Amino acid sequence: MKDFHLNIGPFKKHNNSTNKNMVHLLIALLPIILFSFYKNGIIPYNKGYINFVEMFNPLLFILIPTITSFLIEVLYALFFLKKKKDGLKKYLSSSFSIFPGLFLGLILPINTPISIVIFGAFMATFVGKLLFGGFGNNIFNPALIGRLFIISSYAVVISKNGGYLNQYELDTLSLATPLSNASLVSGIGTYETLVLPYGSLWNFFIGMIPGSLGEVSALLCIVGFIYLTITKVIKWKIPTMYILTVFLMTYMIGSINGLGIWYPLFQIFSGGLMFGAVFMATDPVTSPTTPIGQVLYGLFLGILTVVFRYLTPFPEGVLTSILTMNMMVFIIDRIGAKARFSFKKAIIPFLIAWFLIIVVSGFIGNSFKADSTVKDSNFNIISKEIIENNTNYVVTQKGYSGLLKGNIIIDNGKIVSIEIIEQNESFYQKIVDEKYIEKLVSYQKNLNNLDTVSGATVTSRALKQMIINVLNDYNGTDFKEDNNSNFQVMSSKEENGKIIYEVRQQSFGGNLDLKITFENAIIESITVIEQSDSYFNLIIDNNYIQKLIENQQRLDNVDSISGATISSDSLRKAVINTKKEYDKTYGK
Amino acid sequence: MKTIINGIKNENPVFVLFLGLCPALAVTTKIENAYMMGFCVLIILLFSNFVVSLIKKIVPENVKIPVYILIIGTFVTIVELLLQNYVPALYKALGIYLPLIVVNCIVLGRALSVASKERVGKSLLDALGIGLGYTIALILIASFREILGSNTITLMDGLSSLTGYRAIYKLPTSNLFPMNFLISPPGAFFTLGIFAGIINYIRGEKDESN
Repeated sequence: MKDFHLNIGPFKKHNNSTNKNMVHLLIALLPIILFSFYKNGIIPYNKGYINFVEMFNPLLFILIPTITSFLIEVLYALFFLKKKKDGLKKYLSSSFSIFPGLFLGLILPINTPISIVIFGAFMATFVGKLLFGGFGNNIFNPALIGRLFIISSYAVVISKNGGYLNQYELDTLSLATPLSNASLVSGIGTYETLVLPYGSLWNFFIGMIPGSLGEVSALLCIVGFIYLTITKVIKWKIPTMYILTVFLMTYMIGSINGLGIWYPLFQIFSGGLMFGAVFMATDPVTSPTTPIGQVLYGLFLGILTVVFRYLTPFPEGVLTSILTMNMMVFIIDRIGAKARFSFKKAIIPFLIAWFLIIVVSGFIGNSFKADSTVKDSNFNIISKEIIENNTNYVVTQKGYSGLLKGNIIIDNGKIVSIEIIEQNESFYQKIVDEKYIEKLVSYQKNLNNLDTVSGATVTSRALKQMIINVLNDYNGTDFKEDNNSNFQVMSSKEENGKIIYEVRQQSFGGNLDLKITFENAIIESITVIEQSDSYFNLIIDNNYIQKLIENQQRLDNVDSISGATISSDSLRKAVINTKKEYDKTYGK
Repeated sequence: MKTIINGIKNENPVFVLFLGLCPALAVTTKIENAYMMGFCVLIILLFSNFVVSLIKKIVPENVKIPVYILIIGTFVTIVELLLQNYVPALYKALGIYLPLIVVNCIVLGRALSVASKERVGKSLLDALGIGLGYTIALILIASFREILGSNTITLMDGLSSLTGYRAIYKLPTSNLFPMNFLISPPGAFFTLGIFAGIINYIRGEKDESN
């Protein structure tokens, strides 16, 4: 068979010019923009959280990157393509010039500083689109490139500004977006933990949940999808297949874990899936043009999104999967072009896709069931005392409506008593009635076989988790016996009776260089000479160094900072190691 | 002189020939690492080109590559041991990329294509040009990445154990800077691509006018 040569899209199948397509897209986006204005502008203003001027921030937030990207395109046309007046007008009317910025505004968290938004719009338009040769030649979706730059550089800045929550949500909801909330329990949780904090599934459907400006409302995305399909602007196969695949896979994962139909619905309504599927994956330039290619594209997008959501530390997978699949469009289109004449050619890719769907969902469904006990960010050790054979733990675990604080005594590797010091659970009486605490003590060797208390499921599960975490900590390697291969003393000198150490510790982002001054065997100051940790500002915000100096006699008990666990741990380790070094050389 | 400029401009190993990219991407998070890496490559290039050019007539054709690798490996080991002794911090920072100079395409490539054919003087000049070109390219990439990516200028840090003083400048931070992205490996590819694009764009324009 001869080779097929595929031209780059978009192709003219009907009477729509690219100019008309732009107008249709704008019409489809208008309700979404208005809804984001209502949700992030009008509601907080009505509730009195922001003033009248700030009410228009969401609109500005969308308008500014749009203008930026338009201006860049004009400059490009003037200076690189050397277009004159008429040519310029013609070029701009057919180049989708405002869309990289417009889409970027819609997929960014509301609290992104405006300078960063402009930078992102520049990156989206210039790097994502114009460097490839302008409209029609770009491989990747420009808006997603812009978002990728922003997320990979400024995730900390944005989350410090408040992340995805608008002023009203910041006050009423202390939670992040549904998906980052879900990723705390590695994606699989109960209705109470995943959906209830945001109200009900209806809120997910209409979009009254925290998230980027444009992506929250599934309803409006579906309306836009129907409009764009009728006007033949987008290819209906891609979004349909994409969302159906994610639905199917999460349904399987959910049913393996005994979760109902709400779980796949939760997964497809949250995050940028709907918006990404309708507006991003169907970008005329960067998506396949053959019908079978479009179906395959949707299938693989769905598989990748599920893989990224569950198997990577990032809560959202739509951006990454669309960008990944953008690279494959060429191959997929070749398959699609051949399959037009004999479907046999496309059978193998479809088989691969189905195989992946089943294997991946089976794997994720089964592995997280067992694994979810290993890491738990809801668990905190407040103190740990070792008296001869007894170890006395005071720990907290997040329960249904607050923290559960417990005192657990372990004698020679066996739990002898569990005492709940503090709790404000609504259904705690059930736990007492069922003698659940006593059961925990007697079942401590096989906690996985212990059922939860019906009527107080979350609370009893939290209690069980608390015990499992304590046992993990008790059996795990002790902090003090950590090897010191990551630690190095660069120099030590004596000055006016003070001893100054310069040490280096391997940390999250690279080396952490510290200057530690001892006076009379007491740490007087700790200065950070150099660090390259991404989350180091959290350490400074929390005054962690001051905390270390204050608690220098019991460094083992200083908690790490959530969000910068590795950085704070390595800082603490560096100080502990230096102290040991000091004790070794100068005596106690 | 022409040979030197040729090595820096027309045959720049990083931006034009795209050789030795592994260290060019990996160690260029700090200016100091970049110039020390470039300096090491320059020294090794000079010695290996010199020796290869001297013995070019007595090496049989079919064992050329093993012999050259051995020569290069000798000098790399010498440089490695020197660094390990005198500037351990830098030795650690350059890491695996220091011993990997043995298989660096630039060094072996120059030995095969220039030093085994040309006179001693010419191959020395070529080594100087290519080495300088490599160093300059690395410094360019590293300064872009370090200044924008971590808001510092590290001129002397690991070397301070040898020279006795440090030179690290900190720049003011803002919302936009530091751009953490540039310090990450994709940022290295991005920077390299941008520089190569600009330089080849300028070169292309010149070629057209010629």
